[in-house]
Amino acid sequence: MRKGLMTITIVFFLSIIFIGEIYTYTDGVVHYDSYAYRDIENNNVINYSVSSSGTNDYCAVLINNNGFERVKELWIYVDEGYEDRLSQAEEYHSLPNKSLERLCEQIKLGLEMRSFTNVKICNSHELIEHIKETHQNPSGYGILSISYALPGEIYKGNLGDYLIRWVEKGGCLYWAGSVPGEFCIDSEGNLEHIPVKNVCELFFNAQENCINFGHSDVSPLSISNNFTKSLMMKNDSYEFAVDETKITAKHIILGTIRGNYVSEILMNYGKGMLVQFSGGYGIYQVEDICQTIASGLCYKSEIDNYKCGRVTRTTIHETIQRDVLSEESDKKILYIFVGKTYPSYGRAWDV
Amino acid sequence: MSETLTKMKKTIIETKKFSLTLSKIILLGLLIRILLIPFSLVYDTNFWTIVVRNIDAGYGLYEMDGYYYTPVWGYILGFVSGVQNFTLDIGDLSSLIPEFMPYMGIDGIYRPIAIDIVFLLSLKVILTIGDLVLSLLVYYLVKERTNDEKKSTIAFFLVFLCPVILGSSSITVMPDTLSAMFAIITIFAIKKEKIFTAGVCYSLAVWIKFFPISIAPLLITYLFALNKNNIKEALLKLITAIGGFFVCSLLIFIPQIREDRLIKCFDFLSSRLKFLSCVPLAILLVVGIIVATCIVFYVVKKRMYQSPKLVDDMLMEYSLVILGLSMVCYTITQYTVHMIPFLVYCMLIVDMKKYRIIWIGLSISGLCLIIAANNVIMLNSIVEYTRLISTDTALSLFDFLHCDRILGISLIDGINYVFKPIQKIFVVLVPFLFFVEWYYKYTKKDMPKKMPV
Repeated sequence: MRKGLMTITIVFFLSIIFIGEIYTYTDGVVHYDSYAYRDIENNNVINYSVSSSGTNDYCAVLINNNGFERVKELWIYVDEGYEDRLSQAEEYHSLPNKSLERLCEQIKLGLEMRSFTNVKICNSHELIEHIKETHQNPSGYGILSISYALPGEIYKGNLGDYLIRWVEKGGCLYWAGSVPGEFCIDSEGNLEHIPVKNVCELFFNAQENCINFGHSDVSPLSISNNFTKSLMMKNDSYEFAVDETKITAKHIILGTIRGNYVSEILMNYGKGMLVQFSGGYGIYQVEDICQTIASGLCYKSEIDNYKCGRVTRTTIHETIQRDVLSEESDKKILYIFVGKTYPSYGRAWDV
Repeated sequence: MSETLTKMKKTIIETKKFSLTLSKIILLGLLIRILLIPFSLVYDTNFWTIVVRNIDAGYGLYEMDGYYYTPVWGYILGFVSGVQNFTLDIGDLSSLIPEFMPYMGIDGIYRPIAIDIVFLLSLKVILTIGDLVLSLLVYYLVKERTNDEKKSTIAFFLVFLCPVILGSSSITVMPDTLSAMFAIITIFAIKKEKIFTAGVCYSLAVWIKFFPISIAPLLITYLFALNKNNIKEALLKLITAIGGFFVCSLLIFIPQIREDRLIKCFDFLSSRLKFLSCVPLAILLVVGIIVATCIVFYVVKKRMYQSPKLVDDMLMEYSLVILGLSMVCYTITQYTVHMIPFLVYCMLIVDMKKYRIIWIGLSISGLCLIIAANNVIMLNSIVEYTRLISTDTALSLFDFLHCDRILGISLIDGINYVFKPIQKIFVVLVPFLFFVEWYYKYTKKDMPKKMPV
């Protein structure tokens, strides 16, 4: 009995473990796909299909960007001197001390999972080159800064700086893990601090500090709008979150809110957009960064419609209604993602 | 002759009686576990759903963040995910409950997420099998040692219905019982001279949860003590066991070796041993461990060689002491699961009075701490998937448990403040009492200790 018990137990668990290992490391065991197009005969209907070889919930979100061109190429800026200058920067306030290489990899994979593959990781020199190259027409380009300091050649805390003009002309600047533009690096590699009040005025047009540095006793709440609900936004950390009440430019907020501080804000800046993600590089922050960028959201976005359902080892064919009043030429985005709470697939379709 | 027959009849009747009792204990244990299916520590189970998402998206265990342990439990999660993807229609493994966001204001470990009950069931079936096998193994260990059906049934009861074991596998949903189970199978395998199997099982025990690594010197000594008349054979067996350990470890770690991510498998160590970033301290610790291992090896070997009939008892008691020592700095309820099988054995074989108190102490403190750690969030799945409890009720219960009661301390904080030190005291008591007793006996030159049976 005892010997039998031992043998059965060992065989049972070894089977589970090694079948699990094969399943875990075999590519394409579970695969997903989607497709979407506008119905030629009926302009107000979008046909879409979602398939999964496993069992998943999915959502299809119809986003109207009101003419704003969604970001199709993302450059993630990593300051190569991040760690060296960290202690100097932390004289002002604490900053996340995590591996930027790992964080970049996480964001890149998260975007790749959502079919956003046009991602480049750049250092200061490459960022300067990229901004200069795309300066004439930066629409459709995005820069995500996960570093606290920008190269002085493109940013020194003034309105006329290259980077500021690049955003004004239509570029999208995403910022995570610090105060946007609080530090710059001069030509000799020294860190220069720009007072937070000036930065808030420059980037957010706020007359006083609008960034959260402290801990609030107020309970956080999920922002009750369609963006949060349909895209399952869940970032719940509030370091460097923006006080929404101090923002006068056109903007949208999504994720969660604690007091007046919001976890994600997308705001208008000239012809471009500035996006601030709060938090110090957590899993939820990365999830929300990827969901925001891959879905093509912008400060002008509106959710026209969204549908959720289940797909189990099959392909689902569905339709979603467009706004009846919209023009035929009016481009919209249908963002389909599989796995609601933690997406394992996503894709934005221009429809 | 007739007297012998009567005795035999009596024994058979008693055995039947206790088998019936055993069945009743199994049924009771299963019933409790069935009732606990929808409950879970969302902080951990939420991570398990992220791991499954990463696996399904094709990123394995370590490419994307979410899994920080050695890979064996990840493979079990992969297996569960595979079964669900190919046979069930359950959709997502978790759901956001936006109404529960105010939870987050209290502490980051409370998540506004509900875990799918079928997913919990799948994991808990595997863990319950582990609990059952572990309890049966302790039952057989005691039975083999005492030939007393009553004692072995009590041993089964004390393991299978121990609140720490129940809490770890049925609420926290952590694989500690599987690790403890493989550690005990290792001992059985050594006893039955299945040495390669012992190496394989020990490898699984260590790579599920790291604690059994601390009893390695004892297992080696035990192996030598069982073969003390033939050192050559003992060495050969040791090599065979190491072979089993390495073959199994290699099979487990092949994907990470190929991906060059082996170091990621040990992230849990770096986060728990942050203080070792100070190099002299790290060197001191490594030297300390080596010296301590040598001393343990020498002293235990001497004692085991002196009292060959008591080697099993010594192995179990010393393992308990070493496990207790390894948890002194970092005590968490599910970690104490590793001590329970050894503790129950020692309670029934070595010293009932001493170890009974420790079992009671660990069980009560463990139960209270599991309830405190989970509090209302363990109802999330019931709120979301069964609607038996409304979100308002759960939120008001949460407020009730977390509002300040006395001197600004909430009920939950109060439980933590009281029972965390109590749990630590009972863990420390194991090695403390043992060494005090040993010192006393040593000075009295009363060695070897007479083990009551």
